[in-house]
Amino acid sequence: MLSSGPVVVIQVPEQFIRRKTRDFVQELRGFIESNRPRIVLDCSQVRSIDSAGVQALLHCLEETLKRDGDLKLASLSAEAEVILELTRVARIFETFSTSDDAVRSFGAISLTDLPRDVPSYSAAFEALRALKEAS
Amino acid sequence: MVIAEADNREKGSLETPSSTSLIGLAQLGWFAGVELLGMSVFARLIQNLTGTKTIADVSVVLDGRLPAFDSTHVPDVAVSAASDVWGVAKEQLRDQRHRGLDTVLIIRTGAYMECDLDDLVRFHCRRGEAVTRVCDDQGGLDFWVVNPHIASEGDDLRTTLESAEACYRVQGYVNRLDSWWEMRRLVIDGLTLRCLFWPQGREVRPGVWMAEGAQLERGARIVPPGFIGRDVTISDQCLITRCTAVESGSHVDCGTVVEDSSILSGTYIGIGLDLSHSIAYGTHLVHLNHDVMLEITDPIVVRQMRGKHSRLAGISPSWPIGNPRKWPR
Repeated sequence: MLSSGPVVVIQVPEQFIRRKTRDFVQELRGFIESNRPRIVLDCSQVRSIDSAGVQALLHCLEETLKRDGDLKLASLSAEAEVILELTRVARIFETFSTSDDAVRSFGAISLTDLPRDVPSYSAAFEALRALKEAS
Repeated sequence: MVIAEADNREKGSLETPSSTSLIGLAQLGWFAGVELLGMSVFARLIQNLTGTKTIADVSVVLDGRLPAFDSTHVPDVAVSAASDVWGVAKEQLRDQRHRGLDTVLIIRTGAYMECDLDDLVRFHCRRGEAVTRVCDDQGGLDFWVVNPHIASEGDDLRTTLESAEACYRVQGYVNRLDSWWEMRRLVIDGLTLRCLFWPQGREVRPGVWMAEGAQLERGARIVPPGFIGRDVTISDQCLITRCTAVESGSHVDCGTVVEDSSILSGTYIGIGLDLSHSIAYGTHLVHLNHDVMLEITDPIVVRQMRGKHSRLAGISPSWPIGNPRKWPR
């Protein structure tokens, strides 16, 4: 049975240009290489993005799709939106106005949606684990 | 007398605006110096004035912060650059009074307007006021008809002009040209023939104008109305559509679609792009729908081209002089 991990929201750097993309992709690699990765890239801080940045986004999407996951973009700054439209990449990605919307689109619950008085199940899980180990 | 003065309306955003780039000119509030449909508003104005028989003398007072204006193509036009343009203008007005001129037009370049000069001068003479200002629905424009004797008054010339009581309402087309949107509107209005801001080129088919040296490679398409300026190259499989103007010396590379945009002089637009609702100049892109200006430092996408067109045509030695037309009526 296939299982999915949590939805990961990652902030794209303000200057998403050649010398920054390698570090960013490296940072993302751990999440991308998981089983059915579900990633949201928050682009609200992006002020500059070059062709290497666009390539990096496409590479991440490709790797995510290969693993039966998905990568979505959220909170696109005007600058990022213009560049993605200019390079004809905007249509390839699913984009959302906020990161929460993007998270919800995966069928997941955003942390901000959780009520404050939600009961903690961690104790129950601990007990179950102990029971399993004992058996 | 034509006064080319920087406005500096956006000076607060940048300490020392560069006068050698479009962005610099925009910061100086001087869109009139930018080549549009083959020729700047400023160059068209000089051309129209020198081509009008009833005008005896044309002089230009240029703000020292603006790029130098080469008048070799128009030897009859006297050009003086100064930091105090209004002081120099007053001096010239005094000189014109001594020479016996009875009526002087003072135009501060900025807005593009189509005005019936004969009617304006008749109105001025009929009213008998020392100063008549041209106005439109939004208020006064920087265009006056004056009697040169006002130069002997003690007040600053600009103050005298601003306080003019007589107002001549212009009937023709007016574009105040005070924003990127207005600049783009002028191009669209010129291409759709809503005004007399005609493209400077040959109409190769209805609604498509091409200037000398423009090259359209195999498979490139232009959907009218559109303008392709001097020495422009439109590469294979490009689509130029919806009131797009590509100004002199630019290059739109293979497979790119340009829609509802202006590509200003000497700009390279890369391969396989979708440029829409924008003004591109060198490494700068102004997106009018997103209301954002960004600098793209990636030369694969856009860049400033080297060569004679990398300057702002219309204010450089390369500014085009065609056949002088009559003042638009």
